[in-house]
Amino acid sequence: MKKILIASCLLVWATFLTAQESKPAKIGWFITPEVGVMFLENHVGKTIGASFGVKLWKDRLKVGIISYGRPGPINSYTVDTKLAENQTYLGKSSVKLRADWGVVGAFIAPTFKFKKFELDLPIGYGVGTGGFYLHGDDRKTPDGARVSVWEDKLFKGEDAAAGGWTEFGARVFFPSKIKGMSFGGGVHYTLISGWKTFADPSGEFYNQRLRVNLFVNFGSH
Amino acid sequence: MKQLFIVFSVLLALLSAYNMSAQSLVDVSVGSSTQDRVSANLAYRYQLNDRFRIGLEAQYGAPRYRFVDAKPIREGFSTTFSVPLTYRLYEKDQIRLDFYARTGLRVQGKIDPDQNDERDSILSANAVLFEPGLLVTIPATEKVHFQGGITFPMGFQVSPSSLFEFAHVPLIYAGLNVKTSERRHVFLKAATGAAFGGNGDTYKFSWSLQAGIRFAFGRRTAAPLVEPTF
Repeated sequence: MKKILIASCLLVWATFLTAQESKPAKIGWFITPEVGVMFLENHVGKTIGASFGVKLWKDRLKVGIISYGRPGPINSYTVDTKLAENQTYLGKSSVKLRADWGVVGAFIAPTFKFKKFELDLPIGYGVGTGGFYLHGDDRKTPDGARVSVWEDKLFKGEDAAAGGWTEFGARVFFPSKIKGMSFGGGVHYTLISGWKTFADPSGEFYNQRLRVNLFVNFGSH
Repeated sequence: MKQLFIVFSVLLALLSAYNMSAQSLVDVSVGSSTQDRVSANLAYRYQLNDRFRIGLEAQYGAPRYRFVDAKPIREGFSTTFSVPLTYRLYEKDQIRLDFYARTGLRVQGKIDPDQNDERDSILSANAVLFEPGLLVTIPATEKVHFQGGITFPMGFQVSPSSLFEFAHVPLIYAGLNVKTSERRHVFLKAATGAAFGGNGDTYKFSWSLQAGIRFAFGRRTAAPLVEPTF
């Protein structure tokens, strides 16, 4: 991790040096809504999100915020989870849970312009939160209490958690006929740390995973 | 609903009678969403100057999936009053960027929650809504404009108990606006995104679709920007 951080800093510094101009730097903006997929164990999860921020040094460095989610309602994959010993729920000793996940963080992306496309290398750092939840008829609790009350009870308060999120990627932007609008796609590698839940005590559900996305990019020009 | 209609009709009549040199817009639309099987929306926008626009908006919906105290209701009523505003941050060539913010109050609930066929009780919740965002407008042709953007809508229930009901991070918005005459546009709006809130008991994802007509008053022709409604 230390070597990766040093390499990232050197890359940003190199971008800074090549972009130095005698004129004052113009600050641009960008908004990039995206949809994507995450290659998880045994299934592919659908994601939706966006990034936005500013462009510096003649648009050679993007700095911004990224947020995306892998929402449970559009991902039908379930995790069969055995309840604690002597515990049952609606007469069952194990339940099928859906997974729900979201990320928010900051990122920097050195940007390289070529004749017919643009390439950026986003490096993101932030927090990932999510967990596993009762779905369908299991959300009709036996005593009418809120579902979260039962999830806390069944999963010992570990139905959801937060952890550190780091991501490295590469994105390609293709210009459109409209100035300031481009389309593209990217590949990202996600690392999660310190995330532990009852249904996934190893915390590996989202760790060391590949994410691919497609996006529309709007920005100053 | 009847009272809402009367209030808004009076408001619109007063505003129409006032001699305005700046542009005023009235939007009438219907839609459907994760929250409502069907909803009706009436909105007024006033262009204060070249950059700044403010409005008033009312939406009434028949719930599909809403919450009282983080427990779902699948029928009943939902009424929202809000004040949206937009401020143009950037415009160059074919692209325009606006800052958008909305604040509002929402009442929603279920009539006859004990289902004894007597309308003797209402289960309801009041909430405060807030939604900042960034919207991009791109003219595809002289008459057709596309819109895109991101917003961060959030709702905080204030009664019967206080709780953080939902937030989207972010909601992705797309819109299409077609000028059909000098003072009339038709528009389509769509929004979708992941959500969280209510300690996991409320929304995890939502979508909305809306279609409507925009009428322009005043000297200038109708501005294409049509803000999200949620």
